[in-house]
Amino acid sequence: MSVRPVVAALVGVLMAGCADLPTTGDGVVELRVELPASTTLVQGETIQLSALAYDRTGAVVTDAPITWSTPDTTVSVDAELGVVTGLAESGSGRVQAAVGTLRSNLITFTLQPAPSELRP
Amino acid sequence: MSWWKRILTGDDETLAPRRLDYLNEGLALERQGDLEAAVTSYQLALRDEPHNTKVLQYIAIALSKTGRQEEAIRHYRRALELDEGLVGAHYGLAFLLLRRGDPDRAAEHLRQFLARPLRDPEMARWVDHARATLSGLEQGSLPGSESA
Repeated sequence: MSVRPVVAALVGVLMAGCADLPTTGDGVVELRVELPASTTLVQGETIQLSALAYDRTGAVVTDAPITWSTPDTTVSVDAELGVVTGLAESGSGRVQAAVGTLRSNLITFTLQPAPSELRP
Repeated sequence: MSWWKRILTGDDETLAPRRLDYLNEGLALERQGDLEAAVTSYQLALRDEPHNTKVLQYIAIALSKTGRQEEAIRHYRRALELDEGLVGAHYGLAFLLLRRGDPDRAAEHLRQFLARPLRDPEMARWVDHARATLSGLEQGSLPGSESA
């Protein structure tokens, strides 16, 4: 058995391990959404979300163009401001931040009906 | 009661009419989801105590859940005539008026509700919702709030 193909394969694996982290055009390698104090959202009410983008050195990229989106119809989110509005009175809704093709984890909100009465 | 006491006093508890607890009956029926029957029980409770603001509010809540908004509004208003400090009546009435398309009066009742701070921290949800709704009305960002 020739040693050369094995060495070549090992070098390939090592190269892959050292490959650059995926970055956006802004050099962002990580996106962290700050979780709000509560992830319960009352129908019709809003929560402001914020996220921080980091470059490969761990520094915050202040001018990263963060956008917001939701795959669900139970909540809506302002694409630029990250203001989430509860649309449904029950169930859940997910929101995520993105910079270019880099996406954050989905943040899940539990939806609640707006209290329309107060019992004596 | 002994026959002896009955002869002497003429009292007979077994013959005294018993007042049914219609209010609790209504509450139990409401919990079971039978809103129409609950309304009937509350109305019977109100017949016994026409000035009971608690009963008036329970009727209003049950009526609004059955879609009888105008009747619910009437009962909330009656409760507030009797006691203008009833936070629950201001709150419920505000949202019924808002649903009916009367944002000005709805805003007024929300202000009345918020002017009476609730001590119970559990009430934060109601206070937050009232604040958010009032703010939306004042900024004209809620449906039907253009004239607010």
